[in-house]
Amino acid sequence: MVRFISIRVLTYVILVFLATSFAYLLAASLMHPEEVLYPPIATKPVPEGTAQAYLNARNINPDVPVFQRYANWLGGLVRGDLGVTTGTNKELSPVLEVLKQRIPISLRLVVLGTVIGTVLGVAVGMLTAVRRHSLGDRGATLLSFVIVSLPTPVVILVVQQINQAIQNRTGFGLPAINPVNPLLHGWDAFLYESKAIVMPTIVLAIFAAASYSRYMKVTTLDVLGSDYLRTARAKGLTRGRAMNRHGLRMALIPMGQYFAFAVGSAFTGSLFVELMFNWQGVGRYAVSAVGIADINGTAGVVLYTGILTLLSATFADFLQGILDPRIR
Amino acid sequence: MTNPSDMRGTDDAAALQVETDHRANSVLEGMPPSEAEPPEGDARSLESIGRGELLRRRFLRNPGALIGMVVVLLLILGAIFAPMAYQYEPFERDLRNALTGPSQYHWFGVDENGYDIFARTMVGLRISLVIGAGTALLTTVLALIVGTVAGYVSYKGRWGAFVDGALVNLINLFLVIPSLLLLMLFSPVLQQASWLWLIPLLAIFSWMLTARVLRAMTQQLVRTEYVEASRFMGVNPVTTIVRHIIPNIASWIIIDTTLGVSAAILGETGLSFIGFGIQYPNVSLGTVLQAYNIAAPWTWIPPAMVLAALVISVNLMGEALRDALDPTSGSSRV
Repeated sequence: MVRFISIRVLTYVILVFLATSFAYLLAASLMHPEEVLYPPIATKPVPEGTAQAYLNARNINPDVPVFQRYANWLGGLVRGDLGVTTGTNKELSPVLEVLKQRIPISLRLVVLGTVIGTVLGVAVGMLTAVRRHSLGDRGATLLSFVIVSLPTPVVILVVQQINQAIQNRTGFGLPAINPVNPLLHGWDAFLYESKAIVMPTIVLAIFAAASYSRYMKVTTLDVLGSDYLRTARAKGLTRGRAMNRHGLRMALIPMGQYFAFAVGSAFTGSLFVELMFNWQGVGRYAVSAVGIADINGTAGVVLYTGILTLLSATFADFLQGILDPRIR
Repeated sequence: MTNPSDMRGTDDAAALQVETDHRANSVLEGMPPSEAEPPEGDARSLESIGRGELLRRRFLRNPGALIGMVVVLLLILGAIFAPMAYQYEPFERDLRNALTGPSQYHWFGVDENGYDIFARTMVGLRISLVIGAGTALLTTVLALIVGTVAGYVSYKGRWGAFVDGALVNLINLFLVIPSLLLLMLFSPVLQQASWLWLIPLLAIFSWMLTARVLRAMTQQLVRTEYVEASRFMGVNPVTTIVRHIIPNIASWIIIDTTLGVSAAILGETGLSFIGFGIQYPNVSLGTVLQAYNIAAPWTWIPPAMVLAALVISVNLMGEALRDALDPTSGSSRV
């Protein structure tokens, strides 16, 4: 099992490295942050030496070959330095510092949403498979079908609008935007933050739950027809115990594979959530970085999502190793 | 069921369950069905019918398919003719009526920029439909090429295994790459040329899961006798794939293309919503949603309803097609 997991981790590390390099080279060749030096309203050009110094300090000099810049960036990466923010943002703050500030904000959203969504989806999927053709099954299947067919912004809007309607009717509601309130301190601040996280988590969780429950229903139905479950029933286990001890485990094995790439989609979901709930997380940073032609920032975000995918894929493999005795 | 993209319906799995369910087993409980007189409407009492007719009947028997088809047709007709007949253009400002609700003149109301929402929704629907259909087709072609080639060569010695491994790792690489970020990088650059560039762009980042499934299916088919026979006869591998392998996975391809339409529409609207998709002189459903205002629900509910109706009905059709084409599903009666 150690061998199995270490080979998988090595493959993932190589893939993440390739993906990040690919993203850096693309960003470096497609984006033109040097254009900020030549605004159309400028009356006279920036002196040559100043321009070169400005571009070199940010490793975005278009006169330096793209692979040379990539090598510079890679050298920094080895030393734990992701470069400085570029683009129209001239403040030269290290990307690592920016990410350090923003990752906790995004990560609690992604982790909470994924975990709640997964647990909910597995439970709903299993229940709908066991009680097939019941009213609950029909309702849950229809609901998950509709949610999977909706784009994330629409679901966010529905949740926000419902919150607004409740607030208009009763006077009490969750904070519509912003994860923190700078005016509050101590216990009140904590209370506000835990209230603010509810709606974004609901959005991410129902998306994860909708797709997981669909997969889980299929795998559980596969398992329900198996011989070993009938044997377990024959030796005297109750329906519930047989399902929990033998069925759930086998049904979860193929689910591990979905989980590997679920965090990536959770990142996409959290990007919309951060934009629409005004959270200053990594997703929002990604949108602004691409918007202002920030090469180092974009590469940093890609690295972050790559590592996130790597961790979740490794976790999925680990889970699979525990669940599936054939791998051990 | 070890593949994340195995998109089988719950009905197939249910069929397996019924086969092994002791209550449904005719030997343990209940009488075996009589073989002597097939009831009316049974397959054996009818003249043999063609495959097309069979599929048509199975498809139309599904109420979801009918609803989906009618809604999609209505939306297509609306997208074609509504902008021609309607009074306002998508970028025509009526600032006097900004943020007013639906009225006789502005059917879906006006957003805060004074744009008419109905005009924008219908024009946006045009672009979303074209992008959805185009991307789904292109995605299928890409997935078909990579999937069948990887599956076909995987048994051909060391080099075959190498090529297969390389293609599988390519698929994994594309799965690891955060596709939304790269789309955001490429899209504004290519949009300067034409909005149609969004079609290949979306296709490049959405073929992977289909390719994985097609590879697995091809691997099973390569072992069959008729493919072996054609190989021993010296038939060109491309001809073998086109003549013997693709027809066998065609039903899956059709289903996946249908479901790919809705996935592409969702991708495009998401991208346009954050401002990196369809750009200014054109409108998409995502750009219309961008002008949402929680205090004025009509700014987002009508376009969201149109979008939801489109995606849900395409998905309904896809699921009905799966039921019709899949011989093991529950609806495989005549």
